[in-house]
This record gives sequence, C-alpha cells and structure tokens, in this order.
Amino acid sequence: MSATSRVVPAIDERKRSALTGFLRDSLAEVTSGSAAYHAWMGLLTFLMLAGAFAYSVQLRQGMGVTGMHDHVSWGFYISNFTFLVGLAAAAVILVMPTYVLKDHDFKQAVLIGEAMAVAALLMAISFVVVDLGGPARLWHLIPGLGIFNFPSSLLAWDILVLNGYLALNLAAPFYILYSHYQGREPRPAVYIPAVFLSILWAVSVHLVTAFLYAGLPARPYWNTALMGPRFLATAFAAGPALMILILAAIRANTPFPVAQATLDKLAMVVTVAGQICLVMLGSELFTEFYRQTEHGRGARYLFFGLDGHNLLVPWIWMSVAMVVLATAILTIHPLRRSPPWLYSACVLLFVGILVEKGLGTIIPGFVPEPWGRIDEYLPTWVELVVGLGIWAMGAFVFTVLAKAAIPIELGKRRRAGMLLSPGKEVG
Amino acid sequence: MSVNSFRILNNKGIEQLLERNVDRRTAALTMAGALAAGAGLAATSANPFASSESREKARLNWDAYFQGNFRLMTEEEKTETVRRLERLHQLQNTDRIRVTALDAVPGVLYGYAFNISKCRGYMDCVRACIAENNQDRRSAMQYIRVHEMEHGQISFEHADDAYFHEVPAAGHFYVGTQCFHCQNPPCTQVCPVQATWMEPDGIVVVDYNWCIGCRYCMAACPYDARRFNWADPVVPEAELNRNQHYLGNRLRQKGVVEKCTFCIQRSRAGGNPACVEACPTGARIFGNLLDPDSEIRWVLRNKKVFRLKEDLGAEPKFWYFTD
Amino acid sequence: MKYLLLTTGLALAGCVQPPRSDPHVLAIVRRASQPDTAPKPPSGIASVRAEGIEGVREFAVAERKSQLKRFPCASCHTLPLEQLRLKQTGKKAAHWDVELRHAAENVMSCATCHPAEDADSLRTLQGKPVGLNHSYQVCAQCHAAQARDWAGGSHGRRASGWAAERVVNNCASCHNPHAPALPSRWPAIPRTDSR
Repeated sequence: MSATSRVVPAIDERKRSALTGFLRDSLAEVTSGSAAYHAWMGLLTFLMLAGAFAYSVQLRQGMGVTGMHDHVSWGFYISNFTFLVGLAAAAVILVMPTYVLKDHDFKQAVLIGEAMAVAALLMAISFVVVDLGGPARLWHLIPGLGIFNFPSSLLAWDILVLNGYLALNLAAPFYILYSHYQGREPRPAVYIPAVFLSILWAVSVHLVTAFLYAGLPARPYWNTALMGPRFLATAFAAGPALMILILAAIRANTPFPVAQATLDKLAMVVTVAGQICLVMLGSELFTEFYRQTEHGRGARYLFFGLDGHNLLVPWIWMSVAMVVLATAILTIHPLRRSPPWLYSACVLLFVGILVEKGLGTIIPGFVPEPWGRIDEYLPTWVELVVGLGIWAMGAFVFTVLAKAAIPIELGKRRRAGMLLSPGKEVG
Repeated sequence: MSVNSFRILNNKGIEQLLERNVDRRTAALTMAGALAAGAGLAATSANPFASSESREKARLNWDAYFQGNFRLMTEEEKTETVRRLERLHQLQNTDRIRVTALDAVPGVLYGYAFNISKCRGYMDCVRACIAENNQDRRSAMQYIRVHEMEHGQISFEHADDAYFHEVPAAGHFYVGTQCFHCQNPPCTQVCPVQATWMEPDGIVVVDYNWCIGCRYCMAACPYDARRFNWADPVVPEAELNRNQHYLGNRLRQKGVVEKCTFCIQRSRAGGNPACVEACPTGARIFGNLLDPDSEIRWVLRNKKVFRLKEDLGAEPKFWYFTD
Repeated sequence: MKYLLLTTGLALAGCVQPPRSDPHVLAIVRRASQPDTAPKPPSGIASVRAEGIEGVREFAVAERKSQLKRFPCASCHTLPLEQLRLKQTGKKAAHWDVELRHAAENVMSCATCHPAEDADSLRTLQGKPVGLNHSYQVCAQCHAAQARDWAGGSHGRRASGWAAERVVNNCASCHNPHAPALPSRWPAIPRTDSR
C-alpha cells in the first residue's frame, strides 16, 4: 500500500533474534527524530519531572497538600481516573469494525487507537496510585501476599479489568506489529479471540468504573442506573473525538496514510455518541429537577449552586454548552465534513466531556456531604502539577508507541534481512 | 450465631505465608527488592555504624511494614505485633504505652442509643472522645458531630454542626452522629484489601497498618463516620492516652482512615465509651444487645426508637429516641 | 512505575467472599433466646441496692451519704428547728446558699422533703422517712415518668461500666435537688469547622 523500502542489514544482524531486533529497532526509532520531536519529548519529560516533584511533596507532607478533605475525599485524581478509563474504553470503537466487521476504513486507526488505550490506562492507573494515602502498601492488594477483596469490592473489580484491558491492549497490537515486523501476516486464530475479549472487556471496564460509584447508596448523586450507560456514551464521544484530532495530526506530520474515510466514520461515531450523551443528560436532569428532593442536592449544587456555594456552576454550564454546540456542529452534515468545523467540534466535545467528568461527576457526590453540610473543593497546585505530569506521561507513552509502530506499519522497519514483497498489504 | 461467624479468608499475609522456619527478616529481604519504601530502612538496619537502638527501630519498622492483616493473625502474632508497637513507642519517646489486642467476648453485640430529648449540645462527648482516642490535634479531628436543629423538623440539611454559643439555644434541640457500627456495613464491603471489617461483637474497626488509604470506605459511608489522616497526626506526649488497643486508639499514621470504635480499648474491658461516660445529661446509652436486661434492650423495648437513613439497609446499631 | 508493575500483576485475583452478616439486628436480638443471665462482676462503686422499684431487674444506686459535705445533719441539728433559728439571730443563715428553684411556691417548701423532726432523713409526702441514699424515692413521687425511665435505663447516667453489675447514679448525683434543672453553658470545645 505504501512505499516499500528495502532495509539493508549488516551481516551480524541476521543472527540476532527477531525479538531483540524488534525491540532494538523500536528503541532506535523512538530515540531519533526531528528537532520538533525532540522538543516535544523534552517538554513532556520536563512536565513529568515537575509532576514527580509535586508528588514527592505530597508523599512527604501527606494528602493534606491536596484540596481534598474528609467531606470531599475524592477529587481531581479520581475524576481524571474516571475520564481516562472512558478514553481507554473508546478504543473498542476502532477495534470492533476492523477486526470483526472487516471494515478497512478503520484498519489504520486501530493500532493508534490501541496505543491511545494503553496510554490512557497507564494514566488511569497512575491517577489511582497517586490518590492513595499509602502507595507503599500496594502489595496488600496482591492475592496470596495480601488480600484482594474480590468480588466484594468494586475497586478490586476495577483493578482486575483495568490491568486485564491493559494486557489485552498491549498483547494484540504487539503481536500484529511483531508479525508485520517479521514480514508475516498475523494469524487471525491468534488475535481474533483476544480482540473479541477486548471488545467485551472495554465495555466492562467503563461499566465497572461506573458501578464503583453507582453502587453507593450513600451518594444519591451517583446512585443512578444511568451512570454506567452514560459513562459509555461520553467515552464513545470523547475517545474518538481525540482520535480524530490525533489521526489528523499524524496525517499532517508523518507519512503515515490516514484515509479521509476513516476520519469520516469516526466523526459519525462521535456524532451519534454526542447525541446519545445529550439524551442521557436530559434524562438525568429531568429526574433530578422535576421534583426537587434532598437526593437532588448534589445536582443542584453542580448546576445552580447551593446556599451561595457555586464553584462548579460556571464550569458545568461551559461543559454543557460545549457538548451541545459540538453535537450541533457534528449533526449538520456539511459542517461535519469540513475539517476546520470537525476539528473544532472535536476539541469542544473532548474538553466539554473532560470538564463534565473532571468536575461534574465525582465532586457533586460529596457536596453536600451525607448530613447536608457544604464543604467545597478545588484542586491545589500539587494536584494540578501531578495531574499534568501524568498526562505528560500518557502523551509520552503514546508518542513512543505510535513512533515505533508507524514505520513498521509503513514497512520501513522490518526484521533484518526481510524483504517486503511489493504490493503486500500492511497495516 | 450467624452474626458472629466469620469466614476465614484465603489471605495469609506475608508472614503467614512464608514458611515458619524461614527467618522472617531474610524472607522479607528477598521480597523487598521491588519495594522502594523499605530501602531506607534496610540501609539502616544493615548499617554497622548505626546505634543499636536505631538499628532496632529500623528492624521493628521493617517488620511492621511486612506484617499481615491483623484479623488473620494468630494469637502469637497479635501479641508480637502489639509488643512491637509498645517497643517502637518507647524507642521514639521517653515513656511507655500499653497496647492490648483484647478479643471480642462471645455473646456480646454492642448497641447504642441516643436520647434526643436529653442532649443539650454541651459537646462534652466530643472533648472526651478526642482525648480518649488520641485524635489528631492539628486538624482538630472529631468522630462525633453534634447537629443543632431548630424545633419543628429533624433536618440535617438545616442543622448547624459548628455552633459555638451558650447551649441549649432557645428553640433548638441537638442530635449527635458518629459511626453507627452498622450490622450490614457498606464501608467494609467496598474495602479492596479488607483493612476494615466488623468484629464479632459488632464493632467496625480499621487495621491502620493494613489500610492503603484509597478512601473508598469514606465514599461508601452514608453517615460521615470515617476520617482520614491528611497529614501526620499530632498528639502532644502530655495529652497522650497510653491505654491503647491495636484496633482502637493507638497512634495512627498519615494516609490511613480511622473512625469511632465504641472506644474498643474501654468497651472490651467492660467500660463505657468515653462519650457515654462524659455526657452529663445521660443522653447516651451503651450496652450489650444480647443481654435482655441491658439498658439498651430496655430502651429498644420501651421507647419508640428510630434509626437514621433506615432505607439504605445498613442496619445501624445506633438508635435514636425521645423521652 | 514500580507500582504500575505491581498493579499489573494483580489481574489474577483470588476469589474472596466478603463477610456476610445478618442484616436484621432486631431479629438477632429477638433470636438471642439464651438470655445472658450470668452474674455480672461487681462494679467496685460504693452503692446500695435500689428499693421499692418494681418491674425491672434489681440494680444498685450510687451511694450518696459519703458525697455530702455536711452530713450527718444531726451534728448541727441538735435542737428543734425553731430553737436553732433563735440561736442564729443576727448571724448568716446556715443554708443561705440554698435557693429553692424546684417547683411553684404553693407546691413545695423545704419541709416537703425535709422533716423538721428528723434532719438525717428525707420524707415522702405521706411522712414516711427515706434515707438519703434512697432519695430517688422522694423524687419519684412527682416525677413518675422520669423514675420509670431511670429505673429502666433511659434516664440518668450509669455509674458502672456496661459489663459490670448495674449501678446507676442517684437523682441527686446529677440534679441539685433544690434547683434540678441542668444549667445552660458554653460548649466544651470551641467552634470547629472541621472538615
């Protein structure tokens, strides 16, 4: 499909095992690049170091350096975790048509999508770890050494599904890439079961994360059956929206071919998901506000403020406006087909849902607290910098994975001695 | 009695897992490679130039880091664990504390009743609780909240739990909340590592050495009963209550959750919780639900009692009533 | 990153059942068919057995006499009251600090509870002497509802721990009999906006 380039190997390289070569070539690939690439990676490294510093402050002084307190005991970290699980789950939207429906429009995007899932999962797991008061005691979770409270604790479920999903999203692309690297077509018998599993898994990842909250009658704001489906809908809107932006960026900056049809189909997915999001939002708002019960106080705090406390009000309306506007743009066919409009809508939708998940999902579960007292919450610099560091880590991981995968998919990197047959399909 | 039956879980805890004849420290050392947290301790405990006391301290901290879940410990392990706490305190401070690990007495299920007619908002209970349970003074941590309500409705939404004026205020009444030691506790169900559980005598406890600080239990509690150590807790040595229980008022660390334990160090020894003892109005009643002659049973029989948020099904063992 | 590796290893989970508990506390209480009637350990508190209380299991009342500052009364009350009053003319009254804020004037006076002829005892409305350790019997004449709650366990403070033999405070341990209402005062701890 693309230019086939012949790699001229040194003689001793022929002897090296394929795996070592794969890793070595990948390392060589990710450590070389343009000045812009190095600047980008340098920036991410700097942000990661800043995050590490902020985290060290938190480790030393305790979680009190965050804005959290006994009444809002989860904040920015867990909000980000929630959003990122959705982002990771959204990779399924690319996997399913490619592998199951043999839809070739999505094929190139799949590996990128899975790289995004891996990065998002690593970020999600990191956000949980930095939220722990005793990260050094994580071994208490290891079955056998410690106690893994499964199936009672939904957090145990979440650990299971997140790590399983991470493993799946690492294994399947690795197998495909490695096969391509060796000039072979991957065998469907090997990866198709994994793909099917990962499709089920992706849905469960976000549902389990929703159940983590929805299962708590202590927090009426979360205690809704719609939480799981709504998580999925927002994930399938925000995930592919980011995907479109990333694919567009890859198309503009690398020789990797991204078909317009891929972007069009993704845009359709984003559109439908955005519409479903709005239907669900309306449904939630109706039940919260038609009769104003005490259980609706969290939602009242979020949308209108309560007793003069209204920190979140501007944010949530901004988020709603962004999602509504983005969905409107996407729904109008000519606008959706025009790249500037499409990209703007994707940015709006992504940021809108990030704000909605980041501020509007977790915090109103805690405000007001169970006895009705209102103690508001805002993240501190430590939380923001740690969060920024984790996002930089995610971007770093994604860049590394994409940078290593693209040349293989382009056929530029092959196992030493391999000659690519002309016209052989890759990707 | 089903309430007292506990399933033995499949966990072993590291010490329980390792072969008995393997020296615990050696075993621990082999495990520790991946864990950065212990590195400093290991360095100190292996350092021949460190004083014997600091080496002992490092070794004890090291052992404490690898200790298993308290609930699954054998009697010997429990004894060893509380001795270690006592010794560590002695090494770090000038004087001694006494830590017990007294078990639940069979045939006892603790219950509590609160007389709304009697409470006058003095908050003697809160003060006694802080002193008894060695709560962090810096963050002014409190387990008990006393809500000042206006006559006419029982509404926590409109109550004030931070009043400071002469009490009882005209036209107001007072309702105290704390951990209700639910018989079907939502908090213990969600803990990913079973660091919190209900004891056979109905007390919901936390193993502060096992808690990883995820705070899921705080999100799950419908009664705002749990507190987190957002920083290293501070209790002046002079104010320290030296009579401690492992699952109760012993000193906590930063990053762990704690809560009311019905003053387990007192109740298991036959005493009343500090709040009950301190209340000058007799609004607080504590006793054995399984003893038909107990005061708590008399209240349940003779008063019109209710519990808060009964619809959630947590089955609190904490009842409210009026005269 | 180490933690990431650690958590990654957690995918293989052991299957652990959570502790199951009977959700019906009252049912548990009802089902405790074996009443815990084992003798309770002594409380170690100076007390006397409550007398004249029916319908509840025997219990003890905190002893009062040793708590009184000016007892026995007969050490001063050597003469009939009228003669003592004559002797005291010009001096400050002996019980100047006692102000009766208990009931309306037409309901009670000192003599309602304190018999003039026997200073070391109280008296019922019918004139029957009551020892100071059993002053609750005097109170119970009017405050029947409170007395019932007190005997049962919902009024007053228990002097002994929950496990020991039941010793409850006497009415006068908490209430000043001459001004029984509890005072209003400031809370024991300052305003806390604890989070």
